[in-house]
Amino acid sequence: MTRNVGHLATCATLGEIPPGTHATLCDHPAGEPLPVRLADLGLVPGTPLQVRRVAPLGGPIEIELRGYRLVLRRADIAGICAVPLRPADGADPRGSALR
Amino acid sequence: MTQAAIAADPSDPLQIALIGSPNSGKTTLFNALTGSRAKVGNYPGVTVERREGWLRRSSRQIRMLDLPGTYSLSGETPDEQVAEHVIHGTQPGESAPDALVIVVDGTTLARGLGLVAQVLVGAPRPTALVVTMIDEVSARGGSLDLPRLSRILGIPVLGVVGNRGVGIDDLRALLADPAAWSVPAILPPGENPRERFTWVDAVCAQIGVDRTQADTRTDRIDRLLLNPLYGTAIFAAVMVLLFQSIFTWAAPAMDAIGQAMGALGDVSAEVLPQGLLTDLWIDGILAGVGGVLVFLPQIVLLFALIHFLEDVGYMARAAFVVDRVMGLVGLQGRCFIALLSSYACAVPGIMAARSIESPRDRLATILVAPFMTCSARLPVYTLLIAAFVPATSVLGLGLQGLVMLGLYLLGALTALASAALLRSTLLRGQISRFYLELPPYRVPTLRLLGSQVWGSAFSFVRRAGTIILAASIVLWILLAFPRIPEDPNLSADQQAQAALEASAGAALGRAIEPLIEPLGFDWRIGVGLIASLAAREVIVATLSQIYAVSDADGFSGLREALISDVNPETGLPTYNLAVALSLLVFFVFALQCTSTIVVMYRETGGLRWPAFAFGYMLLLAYAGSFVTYRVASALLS
Repeated sequence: MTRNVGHLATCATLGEIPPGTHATLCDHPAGEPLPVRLADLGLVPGTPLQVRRVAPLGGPIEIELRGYRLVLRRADIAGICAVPLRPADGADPRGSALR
Repeated sequence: MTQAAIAADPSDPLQIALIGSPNSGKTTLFNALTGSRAKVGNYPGVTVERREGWLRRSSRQIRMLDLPGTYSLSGETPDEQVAEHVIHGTQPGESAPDALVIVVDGTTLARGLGLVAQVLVGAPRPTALVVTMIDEVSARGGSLDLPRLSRILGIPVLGVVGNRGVGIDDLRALLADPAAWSVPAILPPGENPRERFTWVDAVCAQIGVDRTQADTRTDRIDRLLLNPLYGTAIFAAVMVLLFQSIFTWAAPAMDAIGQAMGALGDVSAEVLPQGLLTDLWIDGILAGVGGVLVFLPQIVLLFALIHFLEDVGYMARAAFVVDRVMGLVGLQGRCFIALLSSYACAVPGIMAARSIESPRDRLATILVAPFMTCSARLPVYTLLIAAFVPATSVLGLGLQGLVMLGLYLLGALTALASAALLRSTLLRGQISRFYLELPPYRVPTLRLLGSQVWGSAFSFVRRAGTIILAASIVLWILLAFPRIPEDPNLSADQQAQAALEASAGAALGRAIEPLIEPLGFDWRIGVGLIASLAAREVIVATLSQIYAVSDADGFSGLREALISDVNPETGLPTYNLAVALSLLVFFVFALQCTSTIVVMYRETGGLRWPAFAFGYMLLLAYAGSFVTYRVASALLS
């Protein structure tokens, strides 16, 4: 399930983004708030990240952002959306969002 | 920012707190500064309590506080709140620290500076920033402009490598005079996370955070270890290897200790004058404590492997892989880390549960942690398996090692099943959130590994010297009194047997014999079971004393004595495989450990839950032993 956000790009929840894909966090299209707990971990709109792998049997997903790897449960990331980048865009999830 | 909080007189002790995100290297730094041997590990959430120590080689008295890791100042878990309360000075019985040192991992500055912003805004007192693991930053091609970071933040910034001591002397010099630390001219945005991280990104761009390359080594290892197929196979292989090694590698060292204890007993018998005190020393203390000390080599092997897995960064991966399975029983990946630590000892396992956010998950984890096979069960398992399970091999693997593995699995599965039961009855509620940082793989220094194994081995020996020593003495008294007059018609062995039968301990064992008889246990095991309520290993000490094996050669002596013991009434062996299995199952389930009960009481804030756990586990132990004994007797006869 993907949603179109304006004219820019297509926004998807983290769980929908295939492993290996780079993406940039965006506001949730339906305005769902970002859990404060995750915002404290650096998951704020504009942050580049990479979805790295999904644990077997629909387990948690691993993402890399801000120079570290984070594991999140699917049920907890419903409110987190990101715009996947095409491979050519190749943004580095370790760098700063402002580059 | 006020400087008034600082003690004006340089002779007054200063209090400085270390604060940082989990796994940022705070405790390593704390150990380097104070010379302590606090537990460190390469996974988030190792420090769950605040710890303190005096700064070494400093020009003035400085008390350092090591706080549990926290990602933010609005933490929700008990360990994060400790950090928050201490730095705000709202922790009961604790004055606010005079200065703060924020510790940030140099490879994760793009996240860590978020906490820096929060602390600068939230705690107006002298603050310095320590950037750790700068060796890893350069190994990954990076270079951080720390002087520039210091100018931007307006506070002192130092780069260190905690485990190699790089930069520690500079830090020590800095800590001596917090009053001289520069203070920020403008505070960063601390409240709104979005604004905070926009600021963080701007700072990172200026100090060259993006020059640090990806950690390709961790990527490569993860590709193998987190592979659903190979990863699981490797994990299983490591576990099987561990249990095989406990039986094979540790044996020579165990025999050596056993023989040394036996020799010490022989020498004592020759040198010391005959009398009660000599009996107490040889039959009470040497047999009891020595019988337990024999297992030190196994404990060292087990702890070495567990510490290695912790230091290298594997624990968090295991949590990631099994989170789904833990979800099925209503728990989450973090609970798994606590349960895995319980393989060493349930006490640190129960403490580790503090990093679990949901109170229900936390309580369920605390209640089932004692089912995990702790190192205190190892001597009991080893003794009974070595005595009664044939040393044959099945599919090329030793049967004894496989039975040991089976007991570990039984404990773990019971823990999970009990958690599922609790979460669907007493502790029903929503599945909690789960997030966990996967640290980079790091090769632990030999010194670190060595000091951790040393620490664990030392606490095992200390247990042997305190609780087990005390239990051994009490038992010896129970088994040696009341004295009976010597009968010249009896041989020495028969005389000893008669004295034992007449002892208070025997009366105690006989009193509960009707209760435990359905499990296949006689009064001697009964004495051991009562004694092992203090600590599980005590049953080995008890059996050593009952069979007075200090004059044989230690471990193998006790094993032989158990095998050859014959019930005088029936003429059949007292112990057979069915009895041994029944006893093993009893030890898998029962909560025989005062330390665990005490820590449960402390962590749950009352007697209710420890009493519940004790009753529940005893019931399970009784039922499990009963069924095992009946089934095994039927199958084996």
